[in-house]
Amino acid sequence: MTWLVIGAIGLATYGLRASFLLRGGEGQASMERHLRYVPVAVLPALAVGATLGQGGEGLDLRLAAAAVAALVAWRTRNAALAMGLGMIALWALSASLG
Amino acid sequence: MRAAAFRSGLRSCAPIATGVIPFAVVVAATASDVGLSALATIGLSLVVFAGAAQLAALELARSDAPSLFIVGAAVVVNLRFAMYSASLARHMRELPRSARALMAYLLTDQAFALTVEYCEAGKPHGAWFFVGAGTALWVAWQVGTLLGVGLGASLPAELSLDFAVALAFIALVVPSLRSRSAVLAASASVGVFLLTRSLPYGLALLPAAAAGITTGALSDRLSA
Repeated sequence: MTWLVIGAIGLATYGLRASFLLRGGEGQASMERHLRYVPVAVLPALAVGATLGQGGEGLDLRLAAAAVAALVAWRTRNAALAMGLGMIALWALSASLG
Repeated sequence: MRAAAFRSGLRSCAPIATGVIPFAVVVAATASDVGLSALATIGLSLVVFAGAAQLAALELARSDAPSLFIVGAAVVVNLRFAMYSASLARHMRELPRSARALMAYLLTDQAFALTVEYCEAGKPHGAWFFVGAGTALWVAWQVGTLLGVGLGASLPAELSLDFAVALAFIALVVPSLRSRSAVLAASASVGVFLLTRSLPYGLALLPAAAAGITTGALSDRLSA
């Protein structure tokens, strides 16, 4: 990967990030109603994609550990605790079953 | 007050930023593996500052894809930033253009999700909260990149450090699934994502996001 490619990815990414922030126009009510759901529409798909990964070995362990993290996040709203227990769950499950 | 909002952003994001470090390590180790120099790996993290896109680009570079294709894949993976940008812009209208230009560089999944939650709770100085959260993420990302460049391929795969990424997304989104519309939006998104998952380069994220947003807005409208 050349510096030219790195620069092009950087520029394109910045353009996407700046697109609406720099324009800063007034939104309409229906637009706002849609935009409000961007986080809950994007993050779960990212979470599922990252949990499934390439599939294959250890998939059920990752699903179980993800469920632990989700439960802890739901009950405590504590991100550090959820992530820590999720990681420990994965290691413990791999050690005992893997 | 502004300093307090900035510190609050730093603090709220600190655990998630810590969880992002292993991801940065994995991405940097992948870059070395693909043949990038240490300097280019650090440059990639500084210039792009977006893990999923960096990883997608590196995987394509590994298979000797044409440059245009590599850039295109990164753009597709990062299209969600345009949605975030639009969503965040509603809360940042009163700011000068230069401030919004800086904020755009710091826009990530994590800083965006935390800031929207903060602003919708009616708390003041959302921009400073955002910069605090973004700074925590940025520092974590660069530290993780340096670690990955240093450690390289010596990391044992058994640690499954890349799983921290999934955990970070879970920790971010689960607490916000409190309303019926939010739960429906998330379910539609996951359902469509699973159905379209065989699409290349993470493209499945786009139909999933569209389905989730439409479902959420529709449910919101019907219940209003």
